[in-house]
Amino acid sequence: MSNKAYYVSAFNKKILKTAIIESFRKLNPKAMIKNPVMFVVEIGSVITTAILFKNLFLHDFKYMLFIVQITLWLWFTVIFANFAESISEGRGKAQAETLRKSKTEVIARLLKTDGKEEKIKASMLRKGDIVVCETNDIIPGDGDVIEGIASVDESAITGESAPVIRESGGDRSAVTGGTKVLSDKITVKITSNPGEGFIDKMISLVEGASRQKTPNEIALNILLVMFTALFLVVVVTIEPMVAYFHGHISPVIYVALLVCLIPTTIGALLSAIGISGMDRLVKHNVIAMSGKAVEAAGDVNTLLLDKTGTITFGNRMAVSFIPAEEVNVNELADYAQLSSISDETPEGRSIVALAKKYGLRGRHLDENNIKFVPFSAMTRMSGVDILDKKENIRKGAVEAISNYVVQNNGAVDKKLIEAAANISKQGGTPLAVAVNSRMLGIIHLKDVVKGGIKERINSLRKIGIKTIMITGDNPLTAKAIADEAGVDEFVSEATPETKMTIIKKEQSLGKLVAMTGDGTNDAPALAQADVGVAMNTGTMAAKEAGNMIDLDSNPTKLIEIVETGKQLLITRGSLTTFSIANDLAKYFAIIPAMFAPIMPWLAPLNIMGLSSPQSAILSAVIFNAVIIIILIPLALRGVKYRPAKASNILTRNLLIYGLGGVIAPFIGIKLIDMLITYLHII
Amino acid sequence: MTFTGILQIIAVLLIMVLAAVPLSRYLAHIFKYEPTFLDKLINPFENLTFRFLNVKKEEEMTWTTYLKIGLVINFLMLAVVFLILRFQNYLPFNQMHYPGIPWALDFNTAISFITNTNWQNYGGEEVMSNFSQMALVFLQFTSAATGLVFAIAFIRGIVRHEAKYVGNIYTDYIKAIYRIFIPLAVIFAIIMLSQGAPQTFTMQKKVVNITGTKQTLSVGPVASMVSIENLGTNGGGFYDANAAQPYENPNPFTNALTIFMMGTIPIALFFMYGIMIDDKKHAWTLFWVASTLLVVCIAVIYSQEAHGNPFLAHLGANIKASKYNPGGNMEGKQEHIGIAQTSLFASATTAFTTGNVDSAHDSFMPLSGMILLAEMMLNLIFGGKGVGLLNMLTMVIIGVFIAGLMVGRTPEFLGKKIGAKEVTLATLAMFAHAFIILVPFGIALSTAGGLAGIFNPGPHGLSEVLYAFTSSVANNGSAFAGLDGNTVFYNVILGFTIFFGRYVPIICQVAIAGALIKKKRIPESAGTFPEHGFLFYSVVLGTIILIGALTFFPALALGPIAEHFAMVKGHLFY
Repeated sequence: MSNKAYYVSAFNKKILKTAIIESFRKLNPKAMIKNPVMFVVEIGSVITTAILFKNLFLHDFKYMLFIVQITLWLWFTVIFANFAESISEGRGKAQAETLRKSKTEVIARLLKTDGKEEKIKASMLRKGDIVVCETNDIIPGDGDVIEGIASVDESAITGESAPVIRESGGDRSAVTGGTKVLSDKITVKITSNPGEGFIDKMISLVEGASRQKTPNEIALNILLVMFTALFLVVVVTIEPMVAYFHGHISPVIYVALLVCLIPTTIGALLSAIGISGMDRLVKHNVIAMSGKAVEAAGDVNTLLLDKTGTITFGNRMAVSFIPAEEVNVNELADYAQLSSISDETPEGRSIVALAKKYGLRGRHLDENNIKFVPFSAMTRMSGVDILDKKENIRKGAVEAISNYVVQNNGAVDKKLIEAAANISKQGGTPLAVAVNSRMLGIIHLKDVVKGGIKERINSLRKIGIKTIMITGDNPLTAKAIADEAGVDEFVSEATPETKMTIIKKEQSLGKLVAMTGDGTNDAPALAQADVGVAMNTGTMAAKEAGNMIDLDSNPTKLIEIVETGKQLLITRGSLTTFSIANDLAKYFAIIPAMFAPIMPWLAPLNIMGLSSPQSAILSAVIFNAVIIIILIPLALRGVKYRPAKASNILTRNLLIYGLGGVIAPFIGIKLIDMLITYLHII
Repeated sequence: MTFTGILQIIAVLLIMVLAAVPLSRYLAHIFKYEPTFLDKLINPFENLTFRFLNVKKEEEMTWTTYLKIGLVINFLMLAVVFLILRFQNYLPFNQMHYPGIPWALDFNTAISFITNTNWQNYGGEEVMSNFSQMALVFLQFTSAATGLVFAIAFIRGIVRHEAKYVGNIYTDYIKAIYRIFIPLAVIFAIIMLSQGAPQTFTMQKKVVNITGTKQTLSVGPVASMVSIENLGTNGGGFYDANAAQPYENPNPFTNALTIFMMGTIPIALFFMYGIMIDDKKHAWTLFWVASTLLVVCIAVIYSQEAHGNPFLAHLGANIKASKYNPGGNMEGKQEHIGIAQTSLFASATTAFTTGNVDSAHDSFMPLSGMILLAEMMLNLIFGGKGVGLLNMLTMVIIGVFIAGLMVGRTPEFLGKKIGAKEVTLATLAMFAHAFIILVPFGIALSTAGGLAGIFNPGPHGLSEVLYAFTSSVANNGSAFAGLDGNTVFYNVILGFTIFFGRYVPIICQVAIAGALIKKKRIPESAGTFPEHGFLFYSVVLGTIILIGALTFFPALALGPIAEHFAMVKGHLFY
């Protein structure tokens, strides 16, 4: 992972301090009502507080210690919930702060229609204005390069210190406001008004200011509200039953029972889980435009992967030398290296590198003695002429070299032609090497699949995600790479429209599709895909069409994005299950305790053997509050996720959070009860 | 518990499941509108009815139309039957000149029968004319069909995708009645007749019995009522004592047959669901969930009843089973039926929401009483006609929504995404069920009118009231007894709870179907939540038990559980 300029770790002192202050500020009912579950707890706390003061006023000190402690712990429950949310927001806010710092007021060199330059404040720029930027200028706003080429330092956004090239035309024309030109001069057409630029958007995204609840979060909230309503009915209807037995139970106990039953654990942590899910993407240097996109990432069924850049490194590399019959491999390697010595293309460098494996060292040739023959589209070959040895070394397409050899009165080795055809069949590219009239052999060039990609695609298959490789290559080459990488399907000879066609086809089957893209012609497909990840190096059109932006511009990251989405959903589900499963133990703590005065026969239900009714109720309330604090790190970090079959993941999580959720509170409440008894605080 | 007793229970359950399998295929054919072997016989009648009603049987309806028509039909029939009972003294077949039914009882009874509840605050043979009884029998057909057709609409909501229409309710109604209930009712009425159940338009018969004294026997069209009463899981018997009256349930064979009639169709509906959605594994898993619950319930009741009341043993009564003594708790049970069959019957009548009783549930052991309550509180252990399946699927949706997230995808139910709408409706159905039981129950406990009807002091009295509300909301209709339900207070409040307990969840559930049918279906993959097998079984069972327990634990604790522990401690309430 590259250095993240603005990524801040969770628990630094400043964030903690702000979060604590925020948790009290959020007690404002106007803010609380957004979280109905915790709002009910707040109302309960107010009621018990009122009873507390009433009793104080009436000098009724019976059970005072009990009521004071219940009241305190109820308030703690609310504050802990607020704290969970604040701390998850805190990190985003701190990150936004860092970003904001990079957004100082700059002076723009506005190019007027008459060709003259005028210096104005960047905040005065409007869409469509044209500005000039030279070495050491800060680019004043988002835009497209319309003239020139420059190297730009984009570390302010990406955290990546290596400069990138931005040039007019093509897919590398987009520049971002706030980045710095390192060399040369470009003319930029501004594409966004001040305050609407990419950095502004990013600030508001990481800050969570414009955060909206995602569809699943909304649905889950409804479920939690309904459960709260259900338990309200359950608790309220206990009163007439108690009255039937001519008993009386303090409202404090009813409130305690209600708070223990309603799903406070998940209610308290739900928004923290959502915020930190987006946050984890930021950690991967991916900015999601909405929480909805992150959720969709978890649901993805199909991944469209570009061959070049995602599956392969994108450059063909020499993998072996195939000499002609009477030629020694070392001789072929030697000439191959000579032919490539001035070839600065990745292919050429890979040939030199491969030759070194045959014990040949890099050499320096006397420049007077040598003439480089550069590659031309006409001859389809390149090479060197070593003048004193009268050796004309050529390297190029097999057909072109064959012609060259024949022209020099040489003969073509049929076996070599066959070998070349074989390489083509396997999806490789054969290059022939010749000296004067002798064809020495073939260099096997191959598109090299990235290390570890096969394993990742395998693990995607395990979690039910289909991978489709898209490439412009011919079917043979495509198939070879597809087999090597282990993708489920591939589409060869793809045109820019291919992606769109595939996405629509998959979507018509009810599937969710994710893809990456950078070019302007990717934009429609990026918009159509359920998860469209635009590369930061891509065009503005692509970035606007996608719902995520990868600042590292690493398409392989699509896989991490999917995993992050899944982890978010799993965390949410696990804590909901845990929260609801907890209730059983709380019933066993509170029911026998609260009914003890009217139905002492229920004592056998006190299976935890809690020491007294008051201690039982207090222990349940304390457990209910403390579990929130204990689970905050889990909510922020997310439940551990390893790609596996759904049923395996489910088994594991059901055991930990379902069964564990039933058992844990029995132990927790018992321990708290023992502590309370030991401390004699009741 | 005896070996024969256990064997009897297993045999009856096994026969039901074996019969349910072929029946489910027949049911699936009917509602997929496919040909069946009865076509030649029934088509003419069916077509005549369609022509008479001027219904185009192929015309499909949206869920709102389907629901609206269904409700309107229900309410119309409700009004008609209310009037028939109210003015039975002006109508035929009333040789005994019974007066019109008082409005409160009429209100309660009409609602009770239109909703498949058959809660009876009256003794049929003492207040109803034969015409009135037949009107009620008519409702026993239509109310069973009502639950069934809504379940069918729900299933179509799952099966169809990116669609609008859930079927034609008239067609579904008529097919349900003509092809399922009438043929089966005829067959089983004849069997009951052969076993000694009366079938006549005479209302009373004066006989000289073996001791030479004169006796007046109430008779009427009993056999026909008993067959649909149970086949339609209605539970409203001809006689006050239901199946504890020998004319309704003459012998141990009819006792088993009655259980068979109650349970086979509800079980078959689970299998039919599997056939219709083309996922038998899923349906079988749900079958195992319901079966597990049913078997546990039967086991608890049987063991409690066979064990008997330790109090009596303490006082010197012999409650050990032996060749000449059934042992256990025989209070309120019939000698010739015995503890095993009675336990099975009681569990079946509450699980299948029939409400027909062959014993006094009030006299069961406290924990048995709790189990009977629990079966109705859950209302999904196969349940009544369609409704049990609907409730089960509602719980599946809630369970899948909570646990489904744990596989790392937003939750799906059989390939359909569960969003805010479905969750709202499913939880609303769950909430409504609990609310309509607990709130009126609380009201009854805090008003003079409610407290006036309670006969027994202490926790048992509480259980009696709780049972009444649970039974009515679950549309079960069985009574714990020990509560005077025929008061204006109970007639009215129970009438309302029955009404809302029936229609609110159904409206929510059909609306879920309306939401699901529009959705795309997402193909299953290694990454989707497995909706069959042991994991799914655990999730569904866990959800049901947890939600059920969390909702009703306080009420059960103060009622049967308190009574049980007090009994163990030797405490009496008086």
